[in-house]
Formats: sequence, structure tokens, C-alpha cells
Amino acid sequence: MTSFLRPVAWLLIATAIVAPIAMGMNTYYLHILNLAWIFAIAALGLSVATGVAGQIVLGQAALVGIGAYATALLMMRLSLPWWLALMLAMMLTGAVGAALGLISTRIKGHYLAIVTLALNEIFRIVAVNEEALTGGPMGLRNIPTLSIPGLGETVTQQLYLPLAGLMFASYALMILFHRSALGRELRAVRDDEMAAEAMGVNSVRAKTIAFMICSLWAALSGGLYVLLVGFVAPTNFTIAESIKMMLMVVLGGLGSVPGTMLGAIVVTILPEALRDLQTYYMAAFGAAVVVIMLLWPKGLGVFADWLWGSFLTGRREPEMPALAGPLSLAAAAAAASSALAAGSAAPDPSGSLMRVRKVSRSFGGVRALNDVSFDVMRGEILGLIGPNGSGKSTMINACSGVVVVDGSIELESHPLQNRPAWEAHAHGVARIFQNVRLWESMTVLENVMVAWRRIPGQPGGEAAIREASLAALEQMGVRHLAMRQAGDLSFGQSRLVEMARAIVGRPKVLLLDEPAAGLRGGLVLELSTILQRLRAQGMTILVVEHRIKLVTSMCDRVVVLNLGDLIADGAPATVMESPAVIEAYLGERAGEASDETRARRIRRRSVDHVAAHG
Amino acid sequence: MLGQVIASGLAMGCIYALVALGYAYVWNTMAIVNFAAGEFLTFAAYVFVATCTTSLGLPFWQALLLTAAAMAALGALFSRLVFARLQRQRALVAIIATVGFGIFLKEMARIIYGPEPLLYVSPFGDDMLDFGGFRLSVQQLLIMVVVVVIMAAQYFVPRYSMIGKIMRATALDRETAALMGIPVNAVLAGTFAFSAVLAALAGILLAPLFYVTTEMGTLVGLKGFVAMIIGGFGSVPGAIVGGVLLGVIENVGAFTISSTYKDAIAFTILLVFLVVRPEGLIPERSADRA
Repeated sequence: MTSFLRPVAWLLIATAIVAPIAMGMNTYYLHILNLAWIFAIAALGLSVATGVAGQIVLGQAALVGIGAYATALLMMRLSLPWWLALMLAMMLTGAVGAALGLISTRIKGHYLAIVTLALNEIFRIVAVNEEALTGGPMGLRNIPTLSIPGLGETVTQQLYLPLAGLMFASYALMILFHRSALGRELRAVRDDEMAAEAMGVNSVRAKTIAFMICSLWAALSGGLYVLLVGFVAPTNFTIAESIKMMLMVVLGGLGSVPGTMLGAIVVTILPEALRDLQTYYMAAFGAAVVVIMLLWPKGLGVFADWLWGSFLTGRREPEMPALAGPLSLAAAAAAASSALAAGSAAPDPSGSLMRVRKVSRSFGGVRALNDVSFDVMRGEILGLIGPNGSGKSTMINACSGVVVVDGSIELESHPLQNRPAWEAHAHGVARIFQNVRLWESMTVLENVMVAWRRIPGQPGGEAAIREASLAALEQMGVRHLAMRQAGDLSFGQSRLVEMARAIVGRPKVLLLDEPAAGLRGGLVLELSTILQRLRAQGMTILVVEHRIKLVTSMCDRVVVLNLGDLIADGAPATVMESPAVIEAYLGERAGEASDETRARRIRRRSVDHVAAHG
Repeated sequence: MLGQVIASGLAMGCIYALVALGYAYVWNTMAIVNFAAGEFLTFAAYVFVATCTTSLGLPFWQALLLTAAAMAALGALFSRLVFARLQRQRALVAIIATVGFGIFLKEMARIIYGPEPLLYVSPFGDDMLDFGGFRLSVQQLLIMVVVVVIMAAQYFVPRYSMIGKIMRATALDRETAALMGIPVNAVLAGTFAFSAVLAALAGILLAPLFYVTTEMGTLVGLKGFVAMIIGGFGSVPGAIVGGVLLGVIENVGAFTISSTYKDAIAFTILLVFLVVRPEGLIPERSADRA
């Protein structure tokens, strides 16, 4: 049904686009359509920056204006040919975009909105006042327009089909970009920037690229406008125009690239169709934005995404049959234990892989970590335990580059402390978060693919990344969820997907912050088997866990923190009997109860803790 | 001469302070920025001049009270219909929705009251009062008096009173606040009504200084936001300090550097502050971090 409908829909669209020119529609209406194609290209840039990368830009019209004025001035003052002027204008505007991108790494959300609005206003003021350069309020006139003889008599007719074609090509290009590795990184930054950085996304680079793409399309659109109409004036690039472009993106369903095209066409053509209602038109549009944001956030994107089908989403895995149970690790654990049995035993811990030295961190007056030093040995499973508020999560955050600390953390002589999180990931540190942080608008498979890391000697490329990601999902027993949207998963499922995301890059060190939280009792031991298998594959694991049973059965060694101090370091059984540890957990002097009761009470505490917090 | 420039900058700064105060209160309860604040100002100016004064023929104080009441009602209504639903959304969604609502309000003003600018003559006349070093119009003096009165009210309803705590709790977690017995919807509507009244005052006070047009509030709204950032995001004393400071710097800058670039000066100050002191002059703990 759908396979039949889609080509028909495309045929109708193609007919609707060619018909006006073929049937000799009057020049005025053709002109409106030409403007729609040009606006669609400008909105495309905004769709990438705001929709895909989540960086709010309320000054797109100024970027279009810079492109338009630059194209015009290069053609008029330097007599450059149109294509060269257009290209140089795009490069210039791209540089402005890159600068904006660097600003956006310091300024987020509301600040970025007001800064981009302000830049739009500054652009308008400069364009109005610098008459010698810009022609002042009257703008620049008599700019040579582009003519392509053979496609019609007037410029409007001649440029109609080329503009429509260019617009479609631009969208096709950006849709491919949207599903590329870089597109996935931008979406990850939008959904959860901290998680993106921890999983290897260089957010500074990603945002700068997003803003450059945004301004390149803006400049192209501005240049084409000049070549079509032959004049520019400041009134074409006001804040109201920027908001109109934002409207196109919103109407197209914020985040849907194909939707933006429909949004641009509707926003440009509708005022003409409703000319008699012109008075009410903008008011209706303002109200429509509010209603769409509140009630129909996917906007026209629903239809547009369907139109582009698998060109938008890429090849989809065949849907796997749903499993009988709610969530089962049995198969994955069985695979892990048979692999363990077949392969050699776990490599003996040999030499230190990660060195933590005198690490301290304070939050306000609270000392979360106080001169903590320990080593993580190559190939071991090291447990990090301690009562609530002992600094375990802060330690994990410090090792993954998420918080700034004093002291040093080295991984094979690479310093990790106070470096961007993505560098830690590139050196081979991967983690999961205590509260699951998946990128909720992306599919499970895409979530895992973002965290893939290039290892020298291993194959790269989209197909290899996909294979590796599916294998990681398989290993965590959640491959059947690959095509589901991450936001739709249960907590336990998300946890396992997050594990898959952490192991896909074959990290040297895996930091697990309460991996068993949200898992049923039975699954916990299966998880333990899977961790043994990961260790056998060469990963060293640092795990924060509250269930003492799991810690003692799984860990080779345990490090205990209490109120930011390291109070014990050694084999699990020994550490559990240490007076300092018992005091930390039970708050009483050692020797008042028998060792046996104390150990039991520790276990019960930890179970209570899980019941309360898990 | 500089004294004169500073004095009239002070008056404009008081207007920015009023608008900034509205942003701060809405931020403190809803954790969203109302990008439609400038349009609330515009709409209030129209209601005051066209409806209350011209059509109904009310004297100044009655017209002022009626406009304030009407804007409070409008604010409360839209807080219930629109803004209360935006808190759960990402900042991006809330910003765009409030921008859209601003367009709606601005266009409604044009549809109801027509596109021609309205002239409003202040009932207090346009006498200039001489203070030695500088002169102020009665209107400018009125603006300052109103802002000082509001500041005093601010002082007597201490920031850390129950009302302040209730507002903060509502902003941080609405569901928990409701479970603790806070009438969340009333708090939200009340705050929004109050911020609409502040915008209305700004509009009424500005009306005799400029023509009343559909564009009059747009830049004032943006500069009020700039003032809040300078003062400290969400900080009540910061909003007042930031507003007054912005008005003065803007006027002095226009006088000494370039009057054509007057509007650009405010935004340049914003950029400087975002780089040098992004937390603002009087930082607020629950601020939105840049």
C-alpha cells in the first residue's frame, strides 16, 4: 500500500512543480514560487542548526542578508562573475557562522536566542547607516541578474526550474547529512550534550559545523535572491524575516529536515493564497506557532518524513520478533558464558592501566573527594563502593572528564583530568550514567553508533559501524530493540542499551555507575556473567555497585570511599571485614558485634538501599 | 550636558528595569523566558491610549488602573492556557512558542487599533523641571517615581518571605510543589499577571514619550531582557540595577560615540557581559547558566 502510494505522491509533486512553468503561469505567481524555493534553502540551514543540532538561531535573516549584500557588492564593485561572487559570499558568511558556532559553545539556550536576535538587529542598523557600502535604507539597485537563455523570456521564468532543482538537491544533501555520522553527533548534542561529550562527540566541533552549515545555506539563499530580483534592501532581512524562517522550521516539525521544505512552501505561498485575509494572516500565524508547539509538535514533518521514506532513515533492520518475557538476558548470558568457557580464562591482572593520584573535588563546602589515590589494574574488575554521598559518582565523573578536579588521573600515561570528556572517550574510557542518559529522539541503533570509536587496524565506514553496533546490542541482549526509539524504552532496557553504547567502542576502561539498578534480581547475576565476558575481551571495568553480593561475586578487588576519603583497598572478602568499612556502613565501633552479624548487616543495608533507591 | 544625558538615560533605564523585573518574576516561577514581554507592553499602551483614554474618556489614574487590571487578566489567562504548559518542554520549544505568541499579540493590536501611530499627550504636561545640573520632564520624573515605589514594595515584601519560597518551589518542581499544598496554578497565573502589569506600566509610561505603534515594545522588550542578563538572570535586585545601568550606558554611549548606533550599543554591552561576566552583576543561584 505505502510502496504504491509514495511514488504516486512524488509524481503529483513533480507535476505540481513543473505545471506552473509548462502552463505559462503569470510572472507574479511564478515569482512567489521562486521565493518559496529560495526561502526553503535559507530555512534548510536553520533546520540543521536549530532543528537537528538544537542551537537556537533567531537571526537567520541577517546571515541571508550578509550573503546577499556580499554577492551584490562583489559583483558590482569588483565585477566578479556571479558564480565566483556567490562562492566568495558563501565563504565569508560561513566564516561568520563559524564565529557564531564558537560563541555558542559558551552561550546556550536563552542567551543564544537573545544574542542571535541582537546580531540581527545590529546587522539591520549597520545596513541602514553605512550608506557608502550598503546604499543605506534604499539598498543596492541594478545588480546584474542571472539569465539562462532558452528556459524562458524573463528572469523569473528562466530561473524557475533551476531554483526548484537546486532546492531539492540541497534537501537531498542535508537529509543524507542528517543520517550520516556527523548528523547523528549533532542530534546527540541536541538531545543530551553531556552524554554526547562523554561518548566521544566533540561538541565544539559539532556546533561549529552546525552553524557553518546554517550560514552556508543562508548565504546561498541570499545570493540567489540577488541574482533573481537584482536588488537588496535592509527591510528584506529584519528580525520579522528571521522569525518567519523559524516558523518554517517549526511548522515542518522541529527536527525534521524534509518537513522544513513543506513549512517553507506553506509559509511563503499561504499569504498570497489568503491575500484577502492579509490583515489576520500574521496574527493567525503567531497563534499557529503556539498551537503547533503545544499540540502538534511534529507538524508537517509527519507527511514529509513519510515521503522521503528510507532515504531519510537509511536501511532499516528487519523487525525482530518480540520476546516472550519483558526483558531477558538469558540468551546473552548463555552466549557470554559459553564464550568464556571456550576461550582462555580472564587475563591475569597485570600492571596498572589507570592511575588516580591525589584527586580532590569540592562542591561548595562539601568535600566530595579528598586526596583519593588508587590504581586500576589492566584486566581487572574493580568495585568502587561506599555509603551514599561518599564520592563514588564524582570519581566516575572525574575519570570520564565530566567534572573538573585537582590531582591527576592517567590512562597509560595520557592525562585525563580536566580534559574534555570526548578526549577521555577517544583514549578508551567509556561509561554509563547513574540516571540513564540516552539520546531519546534517536533510535537505539543510532544511540550505539554515535559512540563507536575508531581503533587503528579495525575497519571503519558506515557498514562496519553498523555491524559493530548491532553486535554490541546483541551482546547486551537487546538487539531486538535496535529500531525502537530510545525514549520509548523502559528503565531496564535503557540501561542495557546504555551498556551497549559504552562497549561498542571497545574501551580500555569501562566505568559503570550502578549497572544493576533497574534490573530484576535474576538479571543481575546474568549481567555479572556478561561483565566477565567483557573483561575476557580485554576491557578493564570499574564498577560502582550497592549490592554487596554482586560486588563480592564479581569483583577482583574493591576500593571503598567514605565521605570523600579512601578507606580501604583490597580483595572483597578482606575489605568487607575491615573495621573502617564496617564503621562507615554501620556507624558503630568495630568489635561491638561479631564479624558474622556485622557482615550480614552490611548485606541487609545494601539491600535496603537498593529497595529505596533502585 | 553629560548630567542631562545621564538623567534622561536614568528615566529610560527605569522602563527597562520594569520590563526586566517582569522577566525575572516569570523566570523564577516558570523557568521560562517570556519573549512576548515587549508585545505585552505594546498591547497595554494601545489599551491605555485608545480604549481607556480616547474611547472611554477616563482620567489618567482610572485609565491606568483599568489597563493594569485588563493586562493582569490577560496575563493570567494566557499563563493558564499557554505558558503553564510550556514549562515541561525544552527551552527551545518555550522560546519559539513565546515568540509566536508575541507576533499574535502585536498583530492583534494592529487589527484592533489599526496601523496608524497614536499620539498621547501626557496629562501632566510637558513642562521641564530644572534641577540645576540637568532638567527632567514631568513624565520622566513620573517614570522614576513609579519605579522607586515598586522597588520599595519589593523591599517590604522580602525576597525570602513565604511568597518567594513558594515561587521558587513552583519553578523547581511543579509536581512536588503541588503535593506540598502549594496552589500551583494560582501562583503561576498570579506571577504572570504581575509581570503583565509591570509591562503595562512600562507601556503606559512610555506612551507620551513616543508615538504608540505596534513596534514600540519590540526593542524595549529585548533590551529589558538584556538588562536582566546584565543584572543577573532571574535576580530581582539585579533586574533593577541592570535596567537602570543599561539605560544610562546606552544614552551616554549614544551621546559620546554615535547616536545612529544607539540601539546597537545595548547589544554590544550584552556581548561584553556574556564574555566577561556571564552570571551578571548580582547573580542568582537558580539562574539559567550560559
